[in-house]
Amino acid sequence: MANQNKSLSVHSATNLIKIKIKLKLKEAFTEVRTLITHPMDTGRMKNAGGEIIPAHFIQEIRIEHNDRIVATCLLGSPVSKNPFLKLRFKGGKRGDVVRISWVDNKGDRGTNELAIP
Amino acid sequence: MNNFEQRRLLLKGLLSSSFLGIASFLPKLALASWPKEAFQSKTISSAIELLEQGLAAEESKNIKIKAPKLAENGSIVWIEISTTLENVESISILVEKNPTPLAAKFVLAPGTEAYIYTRIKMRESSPVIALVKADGKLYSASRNIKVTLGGCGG
Repeated sequence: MANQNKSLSVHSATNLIKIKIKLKLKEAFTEVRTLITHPMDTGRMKNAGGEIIPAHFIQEIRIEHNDRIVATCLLGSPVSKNPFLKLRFKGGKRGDVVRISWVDNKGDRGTNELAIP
Repeated sequence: MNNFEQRRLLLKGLLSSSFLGIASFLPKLALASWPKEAFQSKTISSAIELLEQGLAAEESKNIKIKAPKLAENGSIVWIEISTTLENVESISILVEKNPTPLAAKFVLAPGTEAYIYTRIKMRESSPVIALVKADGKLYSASRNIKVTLGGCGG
């Protein structure tokens, strides 16, 4: 199994993909911020040699709070490189676990989780 | 073979044995719900139609789009969408003048605030549309964002 710790986990074939998670417990909601290292190639850009860089982008990011799905984010290649998301859900408590999972168009995937501080 | 590979093999086995023919349509299990045709649409109207099964969107003043008026770099344009509409099921972002307008659709569970913030690419200055599905109906709002340097390689 790939190395796992609280701030970083790598499960990907490319082994370079990181999921950063920040959680903030506020009065009305818990705010989730996540940044996933990913090229998000559209398939329209060319490399230095003039060859098309094939499309490579995250298609789904799932956010779960204690195993309940909070949001399913369906992404296309027009989302910026290294996708950053911010969402807010109700009902979070200190110690609850928020899990972020992603899968891209090549079938690579990754997951990471963090407890609400 | 590590645990992960074993799990993948198990998944593959499950797929081919129990789902038989269906497995060929679902090569990637988690992607069954990814609306490929909508994401590949080249016009905003066909993207919306494919994304929301032909529902017509009504303009709404209850959707708020925050974004820079002028984005210097079209490859990173931040956008924040929120709404006071009740029972919001999803929020989608479309960029009219991008080669493929649909950027993302956020499917929100009950208890998730009608709020999203993300960063998108824009080829050129364009209206950006926020599409909100609430109570089974479709609402939209639009905002122009000027882009100095395009970010789609188009």
